[in-house]
Amino acid sequence: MSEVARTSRRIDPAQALVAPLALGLLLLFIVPLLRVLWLGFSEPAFGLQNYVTVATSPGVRAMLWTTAWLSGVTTVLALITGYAFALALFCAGPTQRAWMLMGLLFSLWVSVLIRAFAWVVVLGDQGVVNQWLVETGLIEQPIRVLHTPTAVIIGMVHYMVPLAALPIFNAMQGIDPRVLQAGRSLGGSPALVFRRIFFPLTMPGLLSAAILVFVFSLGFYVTPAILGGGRTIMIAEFIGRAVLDVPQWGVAAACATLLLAITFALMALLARIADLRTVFGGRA
Amino acid sequence: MAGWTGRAQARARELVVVNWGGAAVKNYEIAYGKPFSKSANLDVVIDGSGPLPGRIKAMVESRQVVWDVCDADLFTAMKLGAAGLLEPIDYSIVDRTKVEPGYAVEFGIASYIYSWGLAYDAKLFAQTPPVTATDIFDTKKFPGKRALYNGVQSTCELALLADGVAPESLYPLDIARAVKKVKSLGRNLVLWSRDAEAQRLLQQGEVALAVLGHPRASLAVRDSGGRVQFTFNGSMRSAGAWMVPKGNPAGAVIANQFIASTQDPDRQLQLFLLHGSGPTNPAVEPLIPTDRQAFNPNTAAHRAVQFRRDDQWYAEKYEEASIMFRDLIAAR
Repeated sequence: MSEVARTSRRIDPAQALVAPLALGLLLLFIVPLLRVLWLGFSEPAFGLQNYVTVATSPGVRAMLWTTAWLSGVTTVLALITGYAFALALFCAGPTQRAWMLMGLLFSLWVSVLIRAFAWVVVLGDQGVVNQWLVETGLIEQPIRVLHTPTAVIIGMVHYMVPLAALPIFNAMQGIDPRVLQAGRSLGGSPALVFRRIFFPLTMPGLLSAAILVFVFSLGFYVTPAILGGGRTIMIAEFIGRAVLDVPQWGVAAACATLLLAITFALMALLARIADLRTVFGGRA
Repeated sequence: MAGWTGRAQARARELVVVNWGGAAVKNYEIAYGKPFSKSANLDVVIDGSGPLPGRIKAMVESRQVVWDVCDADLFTAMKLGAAGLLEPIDYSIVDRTKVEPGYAVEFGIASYIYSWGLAYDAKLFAQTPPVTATDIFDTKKFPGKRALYNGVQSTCELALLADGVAPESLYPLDIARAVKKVKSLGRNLVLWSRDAEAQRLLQQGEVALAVLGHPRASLAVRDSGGRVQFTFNGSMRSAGAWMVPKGNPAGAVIANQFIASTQDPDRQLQLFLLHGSGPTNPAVEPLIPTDRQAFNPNTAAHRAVQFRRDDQWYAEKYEEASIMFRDLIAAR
């Protein structure tokens, strides 16, 4: 693509093709978005009171804290699982790898709603796991997982593993195998080669995955709503309720602005660490 | 877009009635829509998109009113009416004596009765079923998760009753005290946002008991084959209400005529049989078949054990209390 762009300077076909989409986005997305941001400063009265509420209200602060720590824990767990999966992918033969990739992408395509309800079936007090544990006599009372933050984390990690594994796998594939061979030939054990050479070389992928997963986690809506049992409220659900249930549009807009600002800041950070096109698979 | 449909509807002689959707769309059509369409010679459209106060406010203030009659809570009618967003009910057309005292106010009149009551898993509590607000919060005597409404209504009233507040001094609700009691349930607490959710939790055996409106509870009882039971004991009697947004497209007279038509005992009986909504007109009572009395909030026995929601308090404090409830539930 970059070759083509460089040769035909007069009308960049890429830009021409993107123009209608950009115009559509501007009218249908950017303009309404700016109106929402404006609500944060103008509803119910002009001023910064909504931001004061966000900063000082114990309820809002507790919600923001819940959002942050759930996203943090999810990111760590998704990275560990994703790294292991990416490593397995990297080591697998071509056929095996194709199957594994298909499995990973397949889970990515299943609707988030269906996945959350699947966890309800699995984790519930009368769910598959608890019933089995009770029937085999391992436990007497079902373990309370559903409707707790743990259930929310399980659901979120499940959703995030593919998003963590793919950039990491991408980074692994970019490693020159000769570097690893050189390490081995210099007498390094496999563990040492992994620790000193392989792992550091996957760091950019790991960091991009971390930011990507964290950003996505911040915006989770359906999963905490279903698995959290109304107790674990994250920012997206909070905004939804502040718009629909209790009309607090100003505070909702302030929270949305905050979420957007954090997302932009993290994406900017991500852009500094890695080429965004690589992260999103544009140049795999 | 909204304005365009509004004008189109006014030309087509339609009357748009808004409720909370789901099965209520079809059931309202059968019980109220079709008979009125015939007698008034116009099309009644039942719109299930939900008459949220914010939407009514936005419509009236932007003069893009597309709804003629809304079926929301009585306190919503009081609140929106006081804010100048509703047409007053025309009591020369609508009969205020066909509802119980207090349920006909300037800007709204009761459309149906529903009661926030206790449903429980009868398999778990076969010997001594839970019957009071205290039982709902007693996890020793009645172990298991409980599903309460994720909002002020019923949850705060029952928490305060369980905490020792006398029924006559419930209002004004002490939200902070109520939430403290609610949170004392710890891991046994599940909060539902849509009553279909409460029904599912009960039927799947995920919760031992739940507080929900009696029409939805009756579905849980029916669909669980009787494993789920329901009691009106200590339940909160509440009223939905008809209200007319100011400047409604079909005109206030037709809207009021529609409201008057829904006071007809046969039509209310029909809706009760289809949907479980408690009739507001006392004349319906003798018509209700014996096998449906278990879910009729209006029998003398059921009336005696319910308490009534204070709509006046809700009209004044609902928003403030809802925000406080949400924030305190979220806080650690």
